[in-house]
Amino acid sequence: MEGAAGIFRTGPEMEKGAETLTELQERVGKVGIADTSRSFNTELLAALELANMLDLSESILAAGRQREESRGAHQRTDFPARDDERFLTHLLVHRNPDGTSRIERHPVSITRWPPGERVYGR
Amino acid sequence: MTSSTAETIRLRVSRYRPETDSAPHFEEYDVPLRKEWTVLDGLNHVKNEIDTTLSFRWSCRMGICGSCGMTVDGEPKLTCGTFLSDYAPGPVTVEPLANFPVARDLVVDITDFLQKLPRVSPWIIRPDEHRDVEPEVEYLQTPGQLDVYRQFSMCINCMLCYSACPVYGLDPEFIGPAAIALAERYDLDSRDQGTSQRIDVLGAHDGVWACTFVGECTKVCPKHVDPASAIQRYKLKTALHTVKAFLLPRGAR
Repeated sequence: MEGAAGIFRTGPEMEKGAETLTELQERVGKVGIADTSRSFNTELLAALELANMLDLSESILAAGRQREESRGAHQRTDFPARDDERFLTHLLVHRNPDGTSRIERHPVSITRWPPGERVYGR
Repeated sequence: MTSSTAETIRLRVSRYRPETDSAPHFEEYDVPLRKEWTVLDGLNHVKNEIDTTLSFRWSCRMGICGSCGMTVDGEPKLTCGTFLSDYAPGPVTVEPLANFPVARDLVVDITDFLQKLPRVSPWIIRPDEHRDVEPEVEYLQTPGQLDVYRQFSMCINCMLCYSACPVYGLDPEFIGPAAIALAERYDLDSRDQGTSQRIDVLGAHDGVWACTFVGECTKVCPKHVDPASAIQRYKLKTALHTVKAFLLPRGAR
C-alpha cells in the first residue's frame, strides 16, 4: 500500500495495487493459525487484523481511484488540481452481498470554515 | 558468509497456557545475536520464525508505550530498551513481571493497578463552577511551574515499579509507587486544586504509609521518575495535614 497508494499516487499504480490486493485477499482466507488458546492469542489477533487491513486497503484503493483530483493527503500526480466541482463530497465504501465493494457519495456538511484551496508559502 | 555461521544467543522463556498448564515452565529458543537487537527483537524473532504461539505484550519499540515490561534475568525491564548483547553469551531468562497474576506466557494481568489508579484522581481538579462550562477557560502555566512536576509526569504505566516493590509483593492492598507518583504529579501542578481529595486516599492504611522506603521503584524506572521521593514527600504532606487538622479550625487548613 505504501507503493500503490501513498500520499503521492497515480491511477495506474493504484490499479496495480488492486491486482496485488486481490491475490492477498485470496491468500488470507487460507491462513493457518497454530495457536488454539483462548487467552491472549496474539497470533489469532494478528490474523484478524490482517484480514481487516486488507478490507481497508480495498476501500482506500477503490475511493482513491475514483477521486480524480488532488486533495489533502490524496495527491494524484496524474490529477494535480483540486476539483470541487466533481469531488467536494465524501466517498463511502459499502460491501455488496456478493462481497464486492460499492462506492456511494455523501454530501459534505460545511460549517464554520468554508472549503478552499490550501496554498502554502505563497 | 552464510547466516548459519552468525552468532546466536539462547532465550529461556517462561511459558504458561492457563487451559493446559498447571504451572509455568521454560522453553528455550536460539535467536540471532545482533548488536542492535533488544530482548523484544529476540522475542519477535521467536514469534515470527520459531514458535507463533508465544504471547507477549508490546507496541512502540521505543520506550514510550510501556507495554513490554518483563523480567529479564531476574530484573524488571522494558524489553525494547534491553539489549541482547549485554547478556552475551547467554542464556537470557525472560519471565513475566513479578507481583502480578500471569494471564498467559509473558503477559500479566494488571487489573489491580487499573483499579487503583483512578482512586488518586490523576487529573486536574478545579472548583465545581468550572466543571460544566465550555472548555474555553485556559489555565496558563509558566515553564518554571511546569518544571516543578515535570519529572513525575514522565510515567508510562509500565508496571516495572510494582514488579520491583517488595511491599506490593507482600501486601497487594498497597496503592503502589506509580499511583502515588501520579498523585504527586497533579498535586504539584499549579493548575490543580485537588490535593485535599487525594490526601484522604493516600493517607489511608494502604496509601503512602505502607511504604518502607526500599527505593527499588526509583531504581528500576525506565523514565527516571522518582516514585520513592514522591512517596516520602507525600508522607510529610499527610503528616502535616493531620497535625493541622488537630490544631487549626476547618477554614484555615
